[in-house]
Amino acid sequence: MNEQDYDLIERYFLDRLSAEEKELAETRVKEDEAFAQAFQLQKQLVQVVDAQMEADFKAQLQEVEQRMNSSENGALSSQVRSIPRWLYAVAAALLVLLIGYWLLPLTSPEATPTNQALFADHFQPYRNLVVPIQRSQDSLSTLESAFLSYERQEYTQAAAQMTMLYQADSSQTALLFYGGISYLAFDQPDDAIFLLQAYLLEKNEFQDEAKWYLAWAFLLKDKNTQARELWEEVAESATDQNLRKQAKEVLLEID
Amino acid sequence: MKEQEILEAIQRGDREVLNHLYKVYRNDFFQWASQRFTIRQEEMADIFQDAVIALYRNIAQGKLIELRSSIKTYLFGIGKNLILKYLRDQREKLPLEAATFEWDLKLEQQYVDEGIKILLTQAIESLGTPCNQILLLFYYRNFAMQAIQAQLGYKSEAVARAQKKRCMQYLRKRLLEQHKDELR
Repeated sequence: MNEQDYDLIERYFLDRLSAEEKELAETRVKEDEAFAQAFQLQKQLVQVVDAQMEADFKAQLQEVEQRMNSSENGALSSQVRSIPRWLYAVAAALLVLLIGYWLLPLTSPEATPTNQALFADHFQPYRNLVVPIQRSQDSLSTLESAFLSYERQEYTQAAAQMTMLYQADSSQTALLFYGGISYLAFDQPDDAIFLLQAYLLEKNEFQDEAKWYLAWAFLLKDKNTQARELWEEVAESATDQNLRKQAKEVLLEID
Repeated sequence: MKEQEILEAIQRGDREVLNHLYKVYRNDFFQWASQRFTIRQEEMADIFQDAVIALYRNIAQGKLIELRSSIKTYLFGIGKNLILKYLRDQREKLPLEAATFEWDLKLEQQYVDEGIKILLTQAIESLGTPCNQILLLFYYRNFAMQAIQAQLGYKSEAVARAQKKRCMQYLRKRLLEQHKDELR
């Protein structure tokens, strides 16, 4: 066996042989034992590589499934699959009306006073860069209406509307980002963590910013280590220099 | 993400697209499948993962170059076939005591093959980077050497080609060593 033989076998399995070469390879498999062994090995190599790649992919998707599944069972989820769509819409509308009357605490009762104070000092919702809204518009789409709530600082409404909209169209990943910030703004760090982590699963436009806000959500849960790790990433590699600077400042202030 | 963008992303080896496809179509698929088949959610999830991977593979390996219908149609088509296969397999599953075990040559060969595959898997893993990356790109994705050069940052195609050749030699050597260990 020489390199040319190996090359012939390799191209056989990549389907890059002429009819004549193919015939030659097949004849040699029958007549030459060493060639036949190498041929068999190559065939198995291709199968093993396939299996390895696909086991990797499978693990990746199982993780996504796990996240989606646990979110369905979590606070945010509504029982999507068994409830008809119209009922879901009615429930959503009621929810939005109801939470308008809620009086919400300004900071998390779970967080230590230091973390609460830090949050109160630094937290600023990100500006709406995705859905421009003209106030003079007569009719607003549901998406515009959600972002209008956000701009008016009606975060409870904004969060609920954005969650609903994302469930209807999960290609709108910006809803996860702004929805997460909305939850954070009215002190629901668990829901904020869920949405922002979902947003960070893929490479998205506001990658660094999402990490910055996710860190705040962790801080409100008194998970300082996780918050610190995220801010360190932002401080080190965020594209926006200003954000880097802010992260560095916060890092100096946390325990 | 537009469908053409999805296609292009898969062709250039972007793995994040798998997550995107899964998230975008999962709920619709579950709803669609549960209306047509009696199947639990865990199984639907397992099958849908396989469907997404199958679509990805077909595009990555150049078997599906352009889309004649929507990605959703392809995905649901693959998913439907996988569900039918799953249900058929369930029906045909025999209780263990009823199964007959025949020790024939074919079965024996199967065990030998499985053994070789395990050795191969271990050998590939033991090669480490960049060899395992090169082999995966070359054999799974059918990448041309030029694309491998670009992806892994080699100076020229010739360098990449030489590196791949060395990797294959290491692999053969590693297999030979493993084989000797087995015989010892």
